[in-house]
Parts: sequence; C-alpha cells; structure tokens
Amino acid sequence: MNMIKEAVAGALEHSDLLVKAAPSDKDTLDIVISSDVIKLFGKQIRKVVTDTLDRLSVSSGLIMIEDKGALDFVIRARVQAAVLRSCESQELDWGKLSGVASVPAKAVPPSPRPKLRRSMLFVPGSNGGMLSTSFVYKPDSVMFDLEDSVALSEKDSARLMVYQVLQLPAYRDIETAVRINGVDTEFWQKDLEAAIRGRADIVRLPKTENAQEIHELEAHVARIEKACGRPVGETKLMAAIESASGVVNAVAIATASPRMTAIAIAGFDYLVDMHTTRSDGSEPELFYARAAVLHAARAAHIDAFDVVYGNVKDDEGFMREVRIAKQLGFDGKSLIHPKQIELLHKAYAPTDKEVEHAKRVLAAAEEAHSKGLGVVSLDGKMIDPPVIDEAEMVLQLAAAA
Amino acid sequence: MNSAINQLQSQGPVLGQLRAFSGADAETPYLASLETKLHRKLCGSLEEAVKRSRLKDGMTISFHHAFREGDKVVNQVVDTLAKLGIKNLTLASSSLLNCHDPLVEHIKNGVITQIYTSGLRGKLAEAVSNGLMKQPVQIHSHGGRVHLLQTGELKIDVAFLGVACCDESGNANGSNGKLNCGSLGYAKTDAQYADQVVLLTEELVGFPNLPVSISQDRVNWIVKLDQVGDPSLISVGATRVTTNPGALLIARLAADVIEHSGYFKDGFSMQTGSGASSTAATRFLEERMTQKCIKASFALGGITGSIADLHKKGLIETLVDVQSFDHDAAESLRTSSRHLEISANEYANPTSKGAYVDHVNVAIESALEIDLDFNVNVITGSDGVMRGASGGHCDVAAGADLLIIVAPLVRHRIPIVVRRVTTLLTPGESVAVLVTDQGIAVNPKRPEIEQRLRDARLPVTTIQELHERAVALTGEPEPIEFDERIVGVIRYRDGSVIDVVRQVKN
Repeated sequence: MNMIKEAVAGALEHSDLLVKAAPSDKDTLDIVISSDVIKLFGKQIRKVVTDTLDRLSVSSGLIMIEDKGALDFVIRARVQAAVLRSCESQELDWGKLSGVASVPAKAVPPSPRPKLRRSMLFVPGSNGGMLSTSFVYKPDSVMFDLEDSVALSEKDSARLMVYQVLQLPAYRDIETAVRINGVDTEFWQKDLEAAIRGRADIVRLPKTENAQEIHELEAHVARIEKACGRPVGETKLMAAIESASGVVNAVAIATASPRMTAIAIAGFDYLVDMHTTRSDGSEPELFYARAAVLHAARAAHIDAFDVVYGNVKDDEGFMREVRIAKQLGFDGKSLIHPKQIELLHKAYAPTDKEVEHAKRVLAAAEEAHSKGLGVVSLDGKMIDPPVIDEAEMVLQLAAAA
Repeated sequence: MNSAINQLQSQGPVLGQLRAFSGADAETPYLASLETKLHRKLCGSLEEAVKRSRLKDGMTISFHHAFREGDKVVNQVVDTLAKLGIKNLTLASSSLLNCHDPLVEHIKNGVITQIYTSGLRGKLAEAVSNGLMKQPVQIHSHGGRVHLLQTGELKIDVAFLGVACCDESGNANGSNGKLNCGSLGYAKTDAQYADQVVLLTEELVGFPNLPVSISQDRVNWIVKLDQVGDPSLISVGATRVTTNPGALLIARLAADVIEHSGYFKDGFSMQTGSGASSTAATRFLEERMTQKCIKASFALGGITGSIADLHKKGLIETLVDVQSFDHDAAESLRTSSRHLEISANEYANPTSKGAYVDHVNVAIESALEIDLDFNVNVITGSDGVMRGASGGHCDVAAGADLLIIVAPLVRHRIPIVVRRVTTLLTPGESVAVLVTDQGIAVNPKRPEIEQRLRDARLPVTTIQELHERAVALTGEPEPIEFDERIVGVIRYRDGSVIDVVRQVKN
C-alpha cells in the first residue's frame, strides 16, 4: 500500500492509542513509539505495529504511536485505520488482514436448550476501553456497534476495531452481534465484511422497515460467507424495529429468513416516528409496538428484545420497565450500561417457588419416561411437552442467575 | 535545711539528688509573671519557634499527614529551615503526598538528607526513584513507624504538627475549625515521642480547648500562621460511590465474599480502604447487613464518609479512627460519642500492648500488584517508580482475620496479577482472598474459606488461572530493569527489611 498523505487514527484515551501515518521521501520505514507502558510492553507493541504494517505491504513511511495502554487488537486496528486513511484508495483488501480460518468457531452449546438471551450489552465500536473490558460483565450477548454510537468520521476506524475485537479470545464464550449501519447508508456492506470475516454470531440490522431489506441483507451475507470461507448460513440475523412501518411489517420481517434469530424494538427512533416521547412507564406509548414485535417473534419462533433504558442513573425506573417487559414475555432487553446486566438477570431469575415447581415437573417427566408411560402427570394434572420445556428453561435461568 | 539534708545523707542511702527548697518558683520561673505563665509558648513566627526549639544541623524533624493534599506545614517549615541555613536533617513524615514536591529542591540543597515515611508520590517519588538522595528512603508502615520510635531508631527532635485549633497552652484537636480534618491519630504519636513539639494553627481558641487530641503537657511551642492548610483539599466531600462499572463489579463481589466468609455475623468488625471499590463495597455490605439484621461492633480506619454513614444508621456501633478521610468522617468524629480517635500506636504498632488491627474480622485493601504467592506491592508502579504508600497495609493484613485484596485484573494493559511482585510490602501469608473483576482467588492456606465461597457459587478460581487470563489479554510483560543502587528500604512492621527498591534504569 502506498501512503500518499498524513493521516491520524485513534484517540489519546486509556486503552487506546493515537497513530499518525505519513509518507516518507526516504525509502525507509520509521516507527516511533511512546507509551504509558513502554517498559513493560515496548518490544511487544513494536512487534505488533511492524507485523500489521507488513501485512498491509507498507514498506516506507513514518508511523508515530502515542499509546495509552491499548491491547494488541486495538493497536492493530488503529494502525490499519491510519494507514488506510493515508492511502490513495480507501478500499481495504480484507485478504490482507487475518481471515476466518484463524478464528475458531464458537463452542457449540453443550445442551440442546435454547440459548439464554436476557441481556444484550451495547458497546460502541470506536471505544477502545469498552471493547477491551466488556466481556468482564458477562452479558448473555454483546453487541458491537458501528451505527449510532460511532461518529461519521470514525466509521472506518470503528469497523476495523470491531473486526479485531471479534477475534479476541476473551469474547469466545459470549454470543457476539454487530450492529451494522442501515441499508440506506454507504457503510453497511463494508460493515458486513468486518462482521462476517470476524465471525460475529449475529448481524443486527437497524431501522428495519420491511422483509425486502432482510432479503437484500441475506444475499450479501451469503456472498461474503462464501468469499471468506465461512460456512454459508452460519451468520444469524437480527432486526431492530425503529418505526411505524417496521412495527406493521414485524411478522414479515421476523419470518423473512431462516437466519432470523431475534427481533428488537428500539424505542427512541420509533417514538419520534410516532410523534410522541417516552413516559416514565405509566403511559402506554410503547404498548402496541411491544405487542406487535412480541407476536411477530413468537409466530416466527425467535427471540424478542425490549427497548434500551437510557437513564443509567435510575435503577428503580429500569427495574420497573424490566418487570413490564418480562411480564409481557420478552426474552431480554438491549442494555447500554454494564450495571444493568446484574439488575436484569436478577429480575429474570425464577423465584424459589418457581424453581421447586420446575424441579417437580422434571422429576415427574423423568418418572414417566422411566416407566415407559406416554403421559406425564403431576398432582393429578396432565403435563404437556411445552410445560416440560418451560420447566427446563426455569432451571436454566435459575442456574444462570 | 542544708543541715537536715546532710543528716539524711549520713543516715543511710538516699534516693535521688536532694536539694533544699529555694523559693516557690525556683524551678518554674515562668509562674512569676502572668504573661509567661499563660502565654510563654506562643511564638511570633515560625523562625522564632525553630530557634526556641533549638533545632540544629543533623537533627530529625517530624510531621503528620492528616491534612492530606491540603497540607501547608511541611513546605513552610522546611522552607523556613532552609532560610535559616539548617542542613542534614532527617525528615520523618507519617506520609508524603503530591503537594510535597517542593522538597526536591531542599534535598538537592542538602537541607534534607534522610527520609522516613510510609509513602511517596509525585515528583518527589520520581526524583528519589531516579537516585536523588544519597541515603535510601526508609519506607515503613503506620504501625511500623511507632515501633521504630520505640526502639529508638527513629528519634524525633522536633515535631511540627499542624492542628485545626488549639489554646495557648497547646490543647489541640483536628475537629473544630476551618481545617477540620478529623482524627489526629498520627500527630498524637509524634507528640508523645518528640523532644520538642511545635503546634502550627490558624485558630487560637479559649482555654481549655476540648476535645483534647494533643494535650498541653506534650506541647512546647505554638505558632499561629495565616495558612496551615487548604480546607478545600482537606475537607473534601464524602467520596461519592463510584459509577465505574468495573469498580462496582469488584465491590459487589467483595461484599459477597464477606457475606459468605463465615465471619458475617452480628457483632463482626471490619475495615475498608478509601479506594473506589472499597467505598462501593461498603454500600453493598449495607444492603446485606440490613437484609440479614447484622450489625457490626466496630469499624477501624481510615474512616470514610460511607462508613460514618453506616454508623449514623446504627449498623456499626463504634468507629475507631486513626485518620478521617473526608468531611463526613470528620463530622462524625466531632459529633458522635461512639466515634473514637486513636493514636498510631493504638492502631497498628505490633509491639504496642494492644493494637486495634488485631481485633478486625474482615478487611478490604487494594494493591498495585499481587503475585502467585499472594504477596502484595502497593509502592512501586509498573515502571518501577515509587508512587504509593505502605500505610497500614501490612499492619491490617497481619492483624485481620480475613484480608481481601480488591483490584481489576488488568488496569490499562498493566496486569495486576504477576509472577513475582516488583516490590514486596505485604507478605502473601497475611493475604486471604483476591477479588478481581474476572474472578476470585483464595490463598491455599485458607481452604475453609475457599470451600465456603465455592458453596456460595462465587466465581472462585486459582491465582495461576487469573494470571494466565491477565497475560492472555495483555501479553507477557518484560521485566523492569533497575540499577544496582538501592534508593528505598521497605521495612516490615517489625522493623525488619522485607524488600528494597533500586534505582530505575533509564
């Protein structure tokens, strides 16, 4: 790659770094590094920077690094972003970065039970600190965002950050999702490359209006899966409903593809579209949208996520909303702050009474099975298969709480 | 009378030196005039106090750090001594903070040539780590300092003690006045052991001044100055409970550990540090105490506003205080009849006849590094430069039944769990549990604790596993390089040398 102008990427913030890339009239490659942790990791940082430049075929230029304790994956992403910005063509040859082959598949869940999806934590794709630590909070799913939390000028850099963070071993045990930009933007196809090649479990499409958008998305996902050698069909899809159209098309969207695995309602944009605002939970402005999205989810046999609760300081308000969502039947909620995870999991934890009852149901089922009986009964009542499934879910929730 | 004395001497062995009465005020000439009787201790200036204390080259001066970053005593005093041409002094401060950077110049000029302290920070610490002083700095714990005073290794010639208020006889406290700093625990010890005690205050009040933290019978000289401290930096608002999610996660786990440790019973005792996770842990502990109707018999500290709050709510019966960290804690000392001010000797001296640290059930402290043997470093940073304090760390660790270290596993690429600590301050045998945001490790010496925590389904793993996890994220750190020269001596609480700090290589 040929750098033709000066460019900067990254940030002077903890767990991030500022990279300045510039062409050089000499034929040499000069790398100048200053770091908060130069004594501990100076050599390692230089190695990562050199490797990254090597893979991009950068053989001359001046690279200046000001590091504030960034992990290797952040260093790679920021160096890649700076180099790309300094180049003529902004097109990234994804083959020059590590491919799917190097990212092992997620471990298959040991039990056939459906995956718990109570908490989906939003993490801005441009924030090195959050990307480096979010796994610590153990959400059921983590969603790396390339859309609304990333500034327009940072879309390219964030994309590379997300591509790198998806491959971090610390996230191997957590379901990963990437929120790409909407199909009406210039970014979404490039975002898909990063998400699929990084082996994200789910691609989340914001502002989904109709089933057609899912079909279009699906076609590109399959194309990229083939191109990078990922099993076709492996990447799942999720739609965020953020408008009236999305709500009325929810069933069509939810059933648009076998890849569809969840549907979420995004409250803020939807309410703007509806010409209203959030109440404190005392008014029903979200009622219809919640009900529609839930029914679509159930009809399509996929998961449903409730709205983001934006007031991070108000734990009581958050819990009020969680109780509503749980009672309606939502599988989980989109979260924007790690402390909400613990609160949410507690709310979804079954009561001791529920756990006792579930154990009795499963014991009855086990007994019937061992006796070769076709019908399971408990306390004189017949227990249908769905009830047994539900009991298993209760115990799974209890174990996870 | 002389003949009677002679007769006594010839009658048999006589106790002591007898001499005849020679007037009511023979030995107390100051009683002769009202002025000297009541006002003789007052000095018009710091220079006058220094002269009257007969401070000479080569002597030892001491300070306390209850004014924290708002201290103006150390710098003013040492400036004055420098102007008076005094040199080769040993400076013994219970701790040194960022505001004491100006000492670097005085060290360069030979005014100060030896330092005893529990901690160093800022430019002073950096300069010392880079070889500023010929003599290595002696780093001791709070309890260890008193032990050094008792063995005579540390001999204070003149103590310069800033106080919030005092009367003309020297009865002083830290509770009343603009510079309300709370407990004068460290100052009390200096007042007891120093030859000459100089009090510095902004407020002279009526006699007798109560409460009496430092008594008139230990005070030689008093100086009233315009500025002895900065109230905005002393009397900070109670530390707000952090919103940092990482600190909250660690705090909650620490409270869980205490809850399931086996020590969480009605009447238990506790101590927490002042860091973000410790303060937050107090809140989480409050929830559990309220839920289970458990009250603490006492909390020891380093008292924070959140601990004072639990005391106010009736959840902690007594507060035992060697240092009040914030305004709320200081207010509690001033107003509560069950908030006790203690000296450093009562707090943590291993050879005192009774140290409060010995009575603590559970304690939470932080660490800069902890190694595979649970040894803790709280003094040298990841670059080998000194930037922390021994403080009460090893004292509390030795005395408490259960010591919990709280720390994130990785702090901005710096792994907290390491193979071997850069500097050893608190030995691993005193550390029971490590709580990080990525798991809990229990010292193999405490298998019963590990079992209880596992039974409670807490995320217990081994310290080796935590170390591997840290290194998997950050990469293996290169060892820090040092020169041969020793710049700091780490003294364990019993006075023994537990480690040394060498000059950083540049």
